[in-house]
Amino acid sequence: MELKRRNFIAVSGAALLAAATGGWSWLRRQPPVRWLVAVRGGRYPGPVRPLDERGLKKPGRWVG
Amino acid sequence: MPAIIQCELCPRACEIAPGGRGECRVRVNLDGRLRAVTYGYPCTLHIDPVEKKPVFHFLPGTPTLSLATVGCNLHCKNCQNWEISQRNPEDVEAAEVPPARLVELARQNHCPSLSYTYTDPVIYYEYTLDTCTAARAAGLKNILVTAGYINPDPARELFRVADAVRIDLKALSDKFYREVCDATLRPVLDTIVLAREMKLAVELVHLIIPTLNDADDDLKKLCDWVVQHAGRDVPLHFSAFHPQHKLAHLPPTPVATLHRARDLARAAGLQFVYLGNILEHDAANTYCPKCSKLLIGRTGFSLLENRLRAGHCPDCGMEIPGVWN
Repeated sequence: MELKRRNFIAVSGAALLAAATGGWSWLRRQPPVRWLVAVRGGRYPGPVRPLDERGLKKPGRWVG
Repeated sequence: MPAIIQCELCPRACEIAPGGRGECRVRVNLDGRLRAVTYGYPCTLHIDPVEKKPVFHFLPGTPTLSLATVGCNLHCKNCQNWEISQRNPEDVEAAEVPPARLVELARQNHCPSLSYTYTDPVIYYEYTLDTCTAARAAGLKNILVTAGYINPDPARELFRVADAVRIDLKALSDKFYREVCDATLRPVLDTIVLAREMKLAVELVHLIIPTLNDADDDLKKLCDWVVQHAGRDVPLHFSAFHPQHKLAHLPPTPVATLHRARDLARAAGLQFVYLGNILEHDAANTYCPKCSKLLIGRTGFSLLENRLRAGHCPDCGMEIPGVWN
């Protein structure tokens, strides 16, 4: 199909815009911040129960 | 905009979006900081015989205060502790037990050691590290029970305050690790070698799963690796698989397979080979590699007799590797 000049300009413009948008997104993406040791402390996100000290000596069900 | 965090604790190297969590479920990106949300909150705490870890060459016959928090950085299809290892902390009860309290509990209950176990101490790394440090200061020993899936730098830091480590060597096959555990093999091998280099008391466990890692070639390859890279004197426990979690459709490990594995291990040169998860006479006894006399008699997790004299065979005098008192 013959590409007329107007179509060529439109297609080229769209391609340039797409490339510029991708490039901008790539530039804006911050590299992840690396962490090795996590922050300690804070609230446990699940239910908290008192420690059952008498239960310590009962055999646990877990392997290992 | 809050940053994406990359956790560098284990080879997964999870990139964690704000408010998200790592694959282990317990390391969370909160306000741009990586937080260990189970720090100080074990979901299970028991006093076990040290033989239950299983650890046979480290303070035999003594109790060990054993703990875990919820979560794990592996997703093994056969996990026997999946109800705590494959759950989110929001869904599992825990008690508040700071490191100092753990040490106090160990002392009150006459436990010469603490064991970081059941799930994996790698994922409650900071809690393990701080408790190990406090325990050591109090004259207590530390036993890590782990799959060994950890990066070398944090492993080195943790091993500095640990005394014994029992590592799962699930297969000598990267394919097995990927398909069954959603992990890779090489980091585990590196962890085993590092533990030996840093002079921890090392014991290995290999769980034999029918159809997945029970072929003679698989077992021989594993034993050869252990001899070459960890040493003939490293205790190796072959453990029987019981159908569980996502592998409930497989049969349990036949006793004959365990015997075959033990024969292959001895033929490869391994000196201390044990069979676990079965109740069989002789499965858990320690024999002198030189004169074959019984040194330590065990049944299940119970110590029946200990004939060692200052860590040596009472009959031929051979030094037996381990921490005996």
